[in-house]
Amino acid sequence: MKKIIPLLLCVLLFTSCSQDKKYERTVFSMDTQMQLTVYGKNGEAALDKAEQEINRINEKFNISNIEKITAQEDEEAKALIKTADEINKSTNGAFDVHIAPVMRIWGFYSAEFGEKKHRVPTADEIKEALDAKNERIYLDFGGIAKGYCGDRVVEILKNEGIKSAVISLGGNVALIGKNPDGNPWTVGIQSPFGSELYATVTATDKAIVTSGDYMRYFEENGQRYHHIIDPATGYPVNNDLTSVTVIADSGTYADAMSTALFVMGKEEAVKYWRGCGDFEMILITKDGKIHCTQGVDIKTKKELNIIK
Amino acid sequence: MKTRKLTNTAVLAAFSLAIFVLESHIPPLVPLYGVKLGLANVVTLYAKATLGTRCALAVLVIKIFLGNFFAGSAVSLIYSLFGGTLCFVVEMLMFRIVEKRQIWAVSVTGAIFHNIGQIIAATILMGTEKILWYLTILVPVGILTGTFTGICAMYTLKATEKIHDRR
Amino acid sequence: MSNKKLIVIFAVIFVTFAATAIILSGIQPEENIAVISVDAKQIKEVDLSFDQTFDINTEFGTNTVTVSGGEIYVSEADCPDRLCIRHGKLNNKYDSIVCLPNKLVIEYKNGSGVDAVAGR
Repeated sequence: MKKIIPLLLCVLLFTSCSQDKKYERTVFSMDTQMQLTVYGKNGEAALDKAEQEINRINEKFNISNIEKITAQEDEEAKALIKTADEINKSTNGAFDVHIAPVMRIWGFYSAEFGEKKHRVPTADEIKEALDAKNERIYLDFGGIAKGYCGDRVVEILKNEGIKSAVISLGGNVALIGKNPDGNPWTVGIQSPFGSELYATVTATDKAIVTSGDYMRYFEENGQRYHHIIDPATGYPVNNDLTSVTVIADSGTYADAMSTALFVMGKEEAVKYWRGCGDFEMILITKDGKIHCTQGVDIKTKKELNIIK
Repeated sequence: MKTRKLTNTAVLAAFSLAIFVLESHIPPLVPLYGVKLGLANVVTLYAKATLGTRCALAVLVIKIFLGNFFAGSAVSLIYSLFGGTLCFVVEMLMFRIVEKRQIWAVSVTGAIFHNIGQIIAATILMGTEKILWYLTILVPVGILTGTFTGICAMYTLKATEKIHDRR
Repeated sequence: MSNKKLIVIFAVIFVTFAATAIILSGIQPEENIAVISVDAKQIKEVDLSFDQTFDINTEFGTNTVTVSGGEIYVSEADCPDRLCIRHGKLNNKYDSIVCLPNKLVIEYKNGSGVDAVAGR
């Protein structure tokens, strides 16, 4: 009878040991806060390598260093530009890494170049910037760098033997495997209208990236100007969408596509998805409705339409 | 007989009060204001065993109200009420189930429920159910204090066999 | 019931609760945000990634709250018992700092149950 107590203590010890140990790290980079959470014995070392990689990519693809990359020499930059250009083509120009001149005259680089902060450019300035864009010289990897970084981090973590992880690079989410309970990870979708969550989705081994008009913006004369510029017009996108979330295998792809689909607007985006479909998406329109492709495991209290 | 019972009850009530007041000087076990160890329970048990349920109840009520009046606050009064009442009810039930030599079990159970009562009161008072997690600390502690007070009660009963009224 | 049986029962209860206490005390909150409520109403969310000190001043009293190194605690208070200060830092996910006279409660924000948020 008295043997029960030691037995119970053993059970207690076992249960606390069998769980994979959790390692967490916060990294401040790419103008945002990143949370990395990994499970596994090698967690600490893996996180070190991941953090190094994040800093490296930030250094390299940061807008203030961009001019150093002439793109002729660097393999990594070349490959990234190639991917970006492919997406540019298939989306009819909705995503463009050459948009730097336009971003610049809107003052979105004021921090990096010490220039005048956010301002509304004149029509002439916009035209000039669009011409500069078409010369395809100056690059802004902002719409794809975090996604690419996510892919690289995932690769590094997997190389270190990590089988379960969830990382958030300032709202760019990447998932490895399942959570410690053996279930798919649960990812919340930020509400464009407030600080709460709009919906939650579950997934494994995916990248989940959201683009929206509520993230980075400035206001002038009572008007809000956000940071997703339409490459065709030079002005911030103004259509029926307020948030686009893409779920795909590749973070690079998800990041670029979320921007592209946002530029396209709902109708075009749905058309595009039906034609190509190697990703899932969640669109939130300005009227507050959610439109979500049928492959997504989504839970929400808001009005939901399924896109087939 | 009645006078004797009355005076004995009064003496026990005084003991109970003394223990209660002394106990309130022990540093708080848990960062909740007014949560007590409940050592005075030893007297309540002794009262029940020697004088009967009604007298034990009298001792308890005196301890709760006067004790908290002297050495407590409105808050600790509520804790004592919840904890003391629950403890008392459970102990009286336990008394019927166990044998004389197992009074320690009555005490342990009483202590557990005394702490449960206090935590319930705290949860209501603080308005947050997160308080309930303190149960994981207070129940084991209750078992320990209950064992201690129970053994004390049993020894005292044995030692004073010749003096007290048999129930 | 025999004495032995009773001992075993209590021992089991003891170990179960004690074990739970040990396990729970190691569980950390899901979000690095604390919530401050007064009189059961949430009045402030505190981001624990930034060191800061501020006062919570209400009709019930004043508490000075400090965030340092990701932890939050009450550094000063005008309440008579000062138990809120004695509590020290907010510990695990289930812990709470309470100043009863000032009706102040500090807890970790409930993770909404999500592992990450896209688009924040």
